[in-house]
Amino acid sequence: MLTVEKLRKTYESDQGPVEAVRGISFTIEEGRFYTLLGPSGCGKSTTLRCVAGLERPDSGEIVIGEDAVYSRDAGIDVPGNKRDIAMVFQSYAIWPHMTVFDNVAFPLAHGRARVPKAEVRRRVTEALEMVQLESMATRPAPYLSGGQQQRVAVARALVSRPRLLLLDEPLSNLDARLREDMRRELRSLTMRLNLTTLYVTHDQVEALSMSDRIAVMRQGLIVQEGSPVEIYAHPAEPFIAQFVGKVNLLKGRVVNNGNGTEPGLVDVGAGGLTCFVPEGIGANDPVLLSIRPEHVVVYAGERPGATNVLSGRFQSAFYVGDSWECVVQVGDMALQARLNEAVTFSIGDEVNLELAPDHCVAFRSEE
Amino acid sequence: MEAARAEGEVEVWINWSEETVNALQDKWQEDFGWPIKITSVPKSASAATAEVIAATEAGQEVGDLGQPSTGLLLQLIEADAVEARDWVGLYGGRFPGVEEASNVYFDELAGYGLHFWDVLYEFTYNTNLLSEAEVPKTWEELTDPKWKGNIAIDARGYPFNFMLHSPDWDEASIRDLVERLAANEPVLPGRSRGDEVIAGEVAIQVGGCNRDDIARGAPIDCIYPDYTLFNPLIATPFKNAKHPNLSPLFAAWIVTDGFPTYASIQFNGRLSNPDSIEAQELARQSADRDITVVEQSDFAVVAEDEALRRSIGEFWTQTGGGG
Amino acid sequence: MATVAQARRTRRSWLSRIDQRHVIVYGTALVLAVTVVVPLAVMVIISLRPTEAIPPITGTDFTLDNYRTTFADPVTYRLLWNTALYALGSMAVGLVLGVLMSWFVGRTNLPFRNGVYPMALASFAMPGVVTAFGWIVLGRPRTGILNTIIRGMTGSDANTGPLNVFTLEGMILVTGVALAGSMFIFLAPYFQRMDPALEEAATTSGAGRLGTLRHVSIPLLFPGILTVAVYYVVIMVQIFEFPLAIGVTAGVPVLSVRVFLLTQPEFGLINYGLAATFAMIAMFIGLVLLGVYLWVTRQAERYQVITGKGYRPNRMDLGFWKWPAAVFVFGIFGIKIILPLLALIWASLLLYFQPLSMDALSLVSLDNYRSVFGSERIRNSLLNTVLLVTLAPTLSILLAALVAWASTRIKLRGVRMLEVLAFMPLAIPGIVMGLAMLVTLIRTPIWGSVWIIIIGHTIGFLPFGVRLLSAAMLQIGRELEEAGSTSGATPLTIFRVVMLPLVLPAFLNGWLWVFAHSIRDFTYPLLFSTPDNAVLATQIWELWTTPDIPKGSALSVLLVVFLMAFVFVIRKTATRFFGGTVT
Repeated sequence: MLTVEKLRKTYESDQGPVEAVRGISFTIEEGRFYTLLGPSGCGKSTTLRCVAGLERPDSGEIVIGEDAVYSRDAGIDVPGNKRDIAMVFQSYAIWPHMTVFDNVAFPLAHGRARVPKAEVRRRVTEALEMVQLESMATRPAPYLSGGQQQRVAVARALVSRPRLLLLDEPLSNLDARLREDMRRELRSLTMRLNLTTLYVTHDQVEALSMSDRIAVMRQGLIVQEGSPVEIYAHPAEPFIAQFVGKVNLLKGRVVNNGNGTEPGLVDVGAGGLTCFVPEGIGANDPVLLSIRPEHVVVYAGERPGATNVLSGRFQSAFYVGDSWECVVQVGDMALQARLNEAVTFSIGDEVNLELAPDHCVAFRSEE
Repeated sequence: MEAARAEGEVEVWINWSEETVNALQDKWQEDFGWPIKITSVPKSASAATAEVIAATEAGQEVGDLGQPSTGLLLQLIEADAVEARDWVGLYGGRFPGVEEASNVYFDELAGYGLHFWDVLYEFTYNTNLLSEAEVPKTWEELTDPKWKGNIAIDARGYPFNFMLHSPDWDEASIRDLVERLAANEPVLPGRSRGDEVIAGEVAIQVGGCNRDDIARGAPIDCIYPDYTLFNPLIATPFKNAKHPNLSPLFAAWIVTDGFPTYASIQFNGRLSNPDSIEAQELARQSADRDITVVEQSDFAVVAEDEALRRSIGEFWTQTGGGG
Repeated sequence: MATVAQARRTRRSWLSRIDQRHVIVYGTALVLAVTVVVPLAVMVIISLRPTEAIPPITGTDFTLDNYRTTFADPVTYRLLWNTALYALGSMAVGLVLGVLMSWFVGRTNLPFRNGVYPMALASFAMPGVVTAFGWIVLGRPRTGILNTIIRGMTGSDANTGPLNVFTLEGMILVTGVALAGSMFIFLAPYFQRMDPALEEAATTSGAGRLGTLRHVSIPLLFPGILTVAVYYVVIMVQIFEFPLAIGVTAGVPVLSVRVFLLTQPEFGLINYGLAATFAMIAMFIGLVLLGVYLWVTRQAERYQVITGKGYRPNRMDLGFWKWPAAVFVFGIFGIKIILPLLALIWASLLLYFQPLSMDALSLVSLDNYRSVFGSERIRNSLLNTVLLVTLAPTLSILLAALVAWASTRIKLRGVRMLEVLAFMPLAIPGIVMGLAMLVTLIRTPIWGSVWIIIIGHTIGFLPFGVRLLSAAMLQIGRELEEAGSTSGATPLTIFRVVMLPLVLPAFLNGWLWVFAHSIRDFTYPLLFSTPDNAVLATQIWELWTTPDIPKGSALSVLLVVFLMAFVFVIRKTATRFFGGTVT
């Protein structure tokens, strides 16, 4: 449905040219929810804006449906207003001089998909019903709450029945509670309408919970693409591991690389740990061993059958509602662990940590 | 005549009051039995002349009639913006007075226009501030420091240029007079009907006498100085006139049959007419002192006086009354 | 699902590939180039032609004679010196008064402060010539109404003074006071919209009131005040009504008056070559100042402390002193508007001018008004006037909106040039611009029609509109427009349906400003004056210089009263529609 091919975009800034997007390619299948995830400045919004026709790329190709809308080589650059898309902005971009109805009706009245008046009324009402704002149609836009403005923006995007929906951090201005509701609602809307969606966010929870596929971006490049599960469970880089959730990174050196077929062994100073060692890493190479806090078990005394055990001293525990976030000092490393039951340790207690071997992954390190 | 009637309109680049325009329209209707519409565009003769020359060169239409002085008429002739015609042959039958009016002082100007009326430059004084006896009677007396800040002079340079026509004056002595007058820090209005002297801001103003406001009761009167400067104005149809048929007919009429109507409202007359206010006042005042009316006789001077006027105008606007 | 290789690569026809944004940018650039650059080029050529050459330009001989003459003449340097004294002096007077007024209105509990803004706007309605005349009537040494009153009150038996408007100081004071009102309009927002939190932060850090003023408030306001100061120096170099009316008698000729008089056969040797040369000097000074202005503006915008948010400023309680302060603030308007207007009304009631006295009271009549209303000439000029003051503001502000939009929103190479082009008329005195257009268009049918005045005003008043609308547009979030684009609207539709309505308050304010300036401007109508294109301003000027001061006064009074009423009504109506956003 959407194909982006070798897209590049450079900005001029006061400090010289900035390469915002450095040649990225991806494809979204019909009806899928695709997310560009990354920290600010990674080029995800620029990519989206190039697709929307709000920025002109330096090179590459963009194909929506069957039509190339941008191709430097073929000399094609369809203006944004002629592309079969709709977009929801971070700031909602609701026009303050219009009513809710006029805002939503704009694409049908002034846009690409103009339709007769009666049809406008029918479809705007329908779109407003979808976002449960049908009772607010005549209200001037500035008299809406943030959440309501958000819904108007969504209704405006849906009303023209675009082939491709572009969402630029649409939830980041909402408070936490509302954000969760909207997340669910947006996802169910796009599923119901079978909309192809390109979503941009820096929030890993949004990305993981909503997407069919995620592309993690960093410094203008896609560093990993995959399903939410793949990204979370098998991050390709420590950066990704860190970005999509909390993670412990332990410096170590490979003792045995397991030849890529069986688990290898890494010495992290405080002991040897069994973990997955990707291909291409040889014995004695420096690595970073990653393990998420929820895969670390903390216990006192001996526990039979435990593997990958390190000993340390209990440092601190923070109650965060549904669990406890604990820190255990192991040698010169502070390891995070998440405990689901009440913590019975006191600060300074000797404890043991079991790092589940299936969830330990080694990454190449630059020493 | 028929063509003139078809045109039915005349646009004069002269400042006439609406009252004048209306009276002249009525008189025309009475004389000819058909109406004309007179439009007055209030321009000074020098502004009108410059505009006519520029517009004619650019091939644009201009107004129908102006009232240049001899010097300005000369400029119009040189710029080919006016045409000569046989006035007496064309209009002398209908308006006998045309013969006299066709005398415009110089052969070089003959045929281009008709003698209309004369400006005499006087000293206008405020009757609340001065009696006739106290008023300076000569140009020299005007330079007396006791009049400091109490004189108004036309910033455009009039009327000193006309002194050139007197054998007693030359450019150097005129400039000397102007410079000594500047030491008296005159107020320098542009065109003025004497508002400064009427208001009493100054006691004396140099310029044409505003008989119009005198008739309305304004507290001013005029005396003729030792050299009374004389500027005949010539009713001149322009070459690129909008109404080429009506404009010469109108010119011939206004200086003859139309003239009494005109003069009764604008209070302008010809010195050659002994019944005019100008002629009578001049006779009264010259009874007990010498007044020389500086008439124009040397055509070579005509070419120079306008240049001198502008140069004095430059002097005023550059240095101002404060010197 | 198509892969990249299979995708349709339809090249649209050349017609549909034309980008509206390019059309807007290049179209606007073309309009500006023709109307701004061409006349100026002609001006340059004329300044290089032999002195006696009369436009339109023919012939190919070029010379630097005009420049040699100009720079060899000591008068030139006196002109420049006078111009500098006058421009800086009157700007300084206006600035001090304007800053004080803005501070009183914006930051103190001044009584009746809501009345100040409408008063300032109303002061726009006074044509400069009219104010100048009013001041001559008030302040001339012997019969000036103020002088008569002061002498009467002090029992002085002198017959002149104590005031004398015919001096450099008099000219600077009168102009400075006249400027204060309009400078206030530019300055007030800086005081009103400054975030009080910035000052509060200083106070909570232990700074005293004076310390806060010195270390926080003044440094924060300084860039804004500086831009206004530079802007007005640019304006003052060009202004010619006051120097013409007062400066000639005062013996203080300035550059703008020189350019004007050089084109007036009435006063001296009409000399387009020299006029063009002086115009080039005036333009050079203007461009340098414009450069300074644009630079200062950029610096000021860099640390923008003034946001669009409406703050509730904490007002200083002036205590008893609020009453003298109110007398001061409203006194300025009294001096600027009411005194000259009263002088005019007095003059308009007499058939010939007389000083204020019991005797003169018996001469009062409405005859002048009767003849003004009865005048066919004035009635005829009304149609042209209506055409001028409806079309010129509309065209000017629309063009300004396009330029502002293009320069703030469209990313294209050369867009910056557009802004510079649009700002050029600010640097070029109206008299110079008018002269340039006059000599350029003299062979065309536009010459002599009201259209040449409309074009002149459209271009001449462009910089103000661009400044106002750029500022307004910068405050409109970019995404509001992008949402239009992603909804499928064309750039022009976005401009029309989204941008224009959003900046409507600024648009209306700009329209009113150009309207008021267009109806009272003499420069263009006079330079282009022919019988067919007479407008009200020309009629006033003609009555004034005919001279028929009584009728001129009557017509001026009518114009001023009408303008004030119009501005008032428009603002009232607009306020109702936009809920107080029109200021």
